[in-house]
Amino acid sequence: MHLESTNRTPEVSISDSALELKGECYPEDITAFSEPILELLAEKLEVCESYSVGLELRYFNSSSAKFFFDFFEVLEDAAADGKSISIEWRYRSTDNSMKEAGEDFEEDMEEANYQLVEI
Amino acid sequence: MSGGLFKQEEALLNDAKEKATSNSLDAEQYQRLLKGYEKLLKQTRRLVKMSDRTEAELSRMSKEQVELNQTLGDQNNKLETLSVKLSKYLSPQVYESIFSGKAEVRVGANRKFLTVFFSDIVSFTEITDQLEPEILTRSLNAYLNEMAIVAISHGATIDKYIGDAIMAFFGDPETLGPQHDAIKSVTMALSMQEKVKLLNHELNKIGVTRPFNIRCGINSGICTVGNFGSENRLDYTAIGNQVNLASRLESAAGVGEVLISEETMLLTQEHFDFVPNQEISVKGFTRPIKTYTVTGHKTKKDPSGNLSFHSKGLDLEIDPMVLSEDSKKIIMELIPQLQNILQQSTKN
Repeated sequence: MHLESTNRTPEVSISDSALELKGECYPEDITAFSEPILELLAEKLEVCESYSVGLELRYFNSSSAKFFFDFFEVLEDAAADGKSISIEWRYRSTDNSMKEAGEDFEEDMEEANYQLVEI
Repeated sequence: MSGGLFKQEEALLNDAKEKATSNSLDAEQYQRLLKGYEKLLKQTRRLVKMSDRTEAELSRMSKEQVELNQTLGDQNNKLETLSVKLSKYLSPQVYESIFSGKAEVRVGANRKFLTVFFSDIVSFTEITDQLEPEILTRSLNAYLNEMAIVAISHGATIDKYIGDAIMAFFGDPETLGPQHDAIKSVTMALSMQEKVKLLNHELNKIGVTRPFNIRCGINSGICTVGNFGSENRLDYTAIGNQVNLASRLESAAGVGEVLISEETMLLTQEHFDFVPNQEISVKGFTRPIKTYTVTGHKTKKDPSGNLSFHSKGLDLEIDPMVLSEDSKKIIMELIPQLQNILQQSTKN
């Protein structure tokens, strides 16, 4: 699955072993954007042994924050089930907001390997 | 549009409601509900935190934007002030063409048909030797200011001031066509001659006892006009033999005279009266140059009955519709006297 970025949504690529998401996220219809991603991610996690996720966001709104809570919960649940899950939260060195958001999400990650990466 | 986002939470809540209504909420279901509530509380706390952070960030950016706008506004004001100051060093047309981006500010020139004008104050050095520096400065600035107003009002591009001398031209960066440019130039020269007479009354009041008299030279022809100099210091000017000829005509002009070349005469002959003057020799021209003295605007009688004639020694503007009956009687009485004066001067 590959979704090109728009001025309101990030570029998203999902393969059998990895997911990449990059850009700004404040979709008009958050459900239409998030549901296919969460469903496909759940399918991929179901059949994989290990999975890597890279996130590079510049901005996201409150609805998208709720989507990311669910997104990380899916990954954390998979890690709790014994899958090897690695997550990179990438942020620009000048972007404190995205750094702090990454730290907030990190608090829920106990089983998955979650890393903050400055770019 | 976040209804689908809370699908799990809504399902849990609806299930709990159902169980509570049927009074069948067991410990396991109660634990599930409690866990869901804890999760929601945690997410809500984080969302509020993120929302506050975003709000703070937006507020900071908004303040920065206000400060940036203020800085930009200050810089614009500074630029505007500088631009107004700079405009005084440039001819309005040149200023406009540079600041509108029509003209490139770099070394380069074009061949253009121009009408070039030169003027200076007769015996200015002798006049100034007798003046205090303050009065000299005031009188010269007053003179140049009045001449610049006349020049600009006629659409001239003022090339430069050289002491009391003025060089101006018509035809670049804006042109009305060779003929109209030449007519404008001669009209301007006559207006300057008139203006100087009025100015002399003012200068007399500040101690300039010897009146200013100017001489003007005008020539029309192909010149090289553009930016000359180096990349660091440019002069927008016109050069070439035709410019030299205009300068030479000015030198050869008599006191209070407008001396023009044959080319300018041919372009303006429908609008002005001339008398042939002496031929002059000019460096760069193999043959002697024919010259003409402008004696004034051509006499014209317009359909309204107005009569207009301007020449050296006579300014005549008659509008019968405006004249009072008394004035008309006085003029009628003056006409025989005028004839007598002219006949007497012709005999002499």
